[in-house]
Amino acid sequence: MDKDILRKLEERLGPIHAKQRLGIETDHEAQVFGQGLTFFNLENSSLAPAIIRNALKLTGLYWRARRNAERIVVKRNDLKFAALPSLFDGYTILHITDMHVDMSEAAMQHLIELVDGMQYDICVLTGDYRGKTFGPFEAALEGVARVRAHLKLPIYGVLGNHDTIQMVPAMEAMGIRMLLNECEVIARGDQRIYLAGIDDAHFFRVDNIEKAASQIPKDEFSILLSHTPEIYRQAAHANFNLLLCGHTHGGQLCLPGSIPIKLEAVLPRRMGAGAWQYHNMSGYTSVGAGSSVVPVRLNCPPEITLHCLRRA
Amino acid sequence: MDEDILRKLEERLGPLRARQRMGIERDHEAQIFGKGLLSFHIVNWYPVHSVIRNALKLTGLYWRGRRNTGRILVKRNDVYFKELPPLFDGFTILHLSDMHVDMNEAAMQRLIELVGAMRYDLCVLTGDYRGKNCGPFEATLDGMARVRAHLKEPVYGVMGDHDTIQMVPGLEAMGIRMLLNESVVIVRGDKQIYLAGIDDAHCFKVDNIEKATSQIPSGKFSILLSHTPETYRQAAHADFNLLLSGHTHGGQICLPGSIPIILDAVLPRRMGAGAWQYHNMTGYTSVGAGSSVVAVRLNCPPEITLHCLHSG
Repeated sequence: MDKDILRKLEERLGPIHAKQRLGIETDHEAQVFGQGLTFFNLENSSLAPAIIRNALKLTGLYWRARRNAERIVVKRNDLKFAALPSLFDGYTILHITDMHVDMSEAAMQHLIELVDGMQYDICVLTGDYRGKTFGPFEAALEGVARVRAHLKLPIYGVLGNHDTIQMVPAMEAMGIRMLLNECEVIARGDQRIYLAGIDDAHFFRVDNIEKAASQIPKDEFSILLSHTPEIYRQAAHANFNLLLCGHTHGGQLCLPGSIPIKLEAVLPRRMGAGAWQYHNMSGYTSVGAGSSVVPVRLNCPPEITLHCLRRA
Repeated sequence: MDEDILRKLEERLGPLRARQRMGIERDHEAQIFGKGLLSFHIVNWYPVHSVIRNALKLTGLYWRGRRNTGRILVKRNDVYFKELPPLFDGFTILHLSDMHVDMNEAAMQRLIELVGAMRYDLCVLTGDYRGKNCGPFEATLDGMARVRAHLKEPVYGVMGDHDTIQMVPGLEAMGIRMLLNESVVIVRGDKQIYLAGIDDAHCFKVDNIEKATSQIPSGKFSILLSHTPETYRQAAHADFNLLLSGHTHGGQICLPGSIPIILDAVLPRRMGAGAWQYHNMTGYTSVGAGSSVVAVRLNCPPEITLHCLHSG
C-alpha cells in the first residue's frame, strides 16, 4: 500500500486504530468470506451476482428492477426535539448513504440532478461509497468527486463496511470532513450542537462511541453518524438525540409492501428502514441512494433524505 | 438499583461508560431475546433448559453429562514468544473462565480442591461468574468469594456476557482487580510486561481495545483478557502477543471427538477451544470450569488452565 497514505492515516487516527483497520482490511481482501456480524456474507460470495441476476431474468423482473435502482426518491423526515437549541429550529440535513458510486452510475447521475438546487444547512454521508467490499478504490473516489462537486459545504462523512480507510485522505482533500470516532461542533449564533461519527461497526468493528462522545458536554444536543444502525443500544445509552445511518438498503430486494427478504444486519426489523425511536433517541435508517451486489431494487426505491430538525 | 453501586461505577468507569453498560443491561433484563452478535440466543430461550434436559434423559446421557461437569481437568499450555523478556521465562498464569459459580456448586468444590496447592505467578478470570445472564447476583458474589479465598494474589478479571457490571465493586472488594478496558504493568526485576482486559464484546459490545492499549508502549510484550475470542482480529492487529479467553465452553455438549454442536460465537471453529494462532498473536480459548443453561457436559470436560510462558 501507498506509504504516504499509511503515514497520513497514522497521524490522523493514531497508531492503534490505523493498524487495526488496515490489518482487518488486508485479512478481508485475502479471505472473501467475512467473519463480521453476519456469518455468511451474501455480498461477498462471487456467485451471488449471477444467481440474483438470473433469478430476476427468469421471473421477468430484471429490467424493471434495474430501472427502479435509478429512480431515487427525495424523502423528508421532520423531527421534533425538546433538547434542540432554539436557533437550530428548521435546521436541515441532507443525508446521502450507500451510494456505491462505481456500481450505480445511472443512479448517481440522477442524484446529481436532484441535489443541485436543493436547500440544506449541512450534508452528511453515512458510508459505503465503494461498490465492492474489497479491491481497488480509485473508481469509487472519482465517482465521489463527481457527486461532491454538486454538494454544498459543509459535508461530513463516515466509513461503511464497503470502504477502505485508504480513501480517507482523498475524501478529505475533496472537502468531506470524515468523522472517525470524532466529533465536530456546529454553531449558530451563540448556540451549538454536536455532530459525532464512528468508524464501521458492522464488519471492521473499529467503532468507538466512547471516544467520539468524549468531547460532548452532558445534555448538549448531539447527532451520531454511523454506517450501520446495529449500534442503536450503545448510541442511545450514550445519550445521543439522533442517529443517522444506512447500511441495510431497506432490504434492496423486497416483497410487495416493502418487506425485506434480508437486511444484512443484526437488528430489530422496525429499524431496517425509515424513522424509528429507541428510548430517548430518534433514529433514521436510509435505504440508500445506490445499490450493491447487483444494481437492482424491487419494492424498495433508493432515497436521499432531508431531515428537518424542529424544536418541540 | 443500589445508589451506592451506581456511584462507585460512575467513579470507576466514567459517567458515559457506566451509563451505557447499565442501560444496555436494563434493556436486556426487560427483553430476554438478546440483540448481541447473534440474533437468536439459545441461552435466553426459556424452554431450552427442559428440552435439553429431557432429550438427554431420553437418550440416557443425562446423569453421565451431570457427572462430567464435576470432573475438571487441569490443562497445561506452553507458549513460546521471542518478544518475552527473559526474566519472565517460566512465568505461569492460572486461567479460570466461565465458572457460572451459582449453577455449578459441585464443580466449584472440585475447583477449590484443585487450585489450593497450585503454583502460579498470576491468576486471571475471563468472565461469566454468574449462571444466568439476568437477574440477581448476590449468590454469584458469595460463590466467587468462596473460590477467591483459595486463590493466590494477584488476581485479575474481566466481565462476561453473563455478568452485570454491578458486581464490579463486590469483586474488587475481594481483591480481584477488574480490567475494564484498562491495562496494568507486571514487573519482574527491571523488566515489564503488560496485561490488558476489555469489557464484554459478545452481548454488551462495550469493549474498547484502543483504550485498553493506550498505556502500552509499542513493541512491549502484552496479554489481552477478553471474555469472548470473537475480538481476535481487533486484538491481533492491536499487536497483542497473547489473547486469553473463554465464552464458548468448547460447545459444552459435543459429538464424539469433541466436535461442538454450537459455539454461541461468530468465530472460526478452530478458535472454539484450546490453543490457536492468528497472525503474530497466540490465542487460547478455555472451555471453562463451569457449565451454563443446563449443568451437563458431553465429550467436552471442564478445565482450568496453566499457561507457561517461555522466552524464545
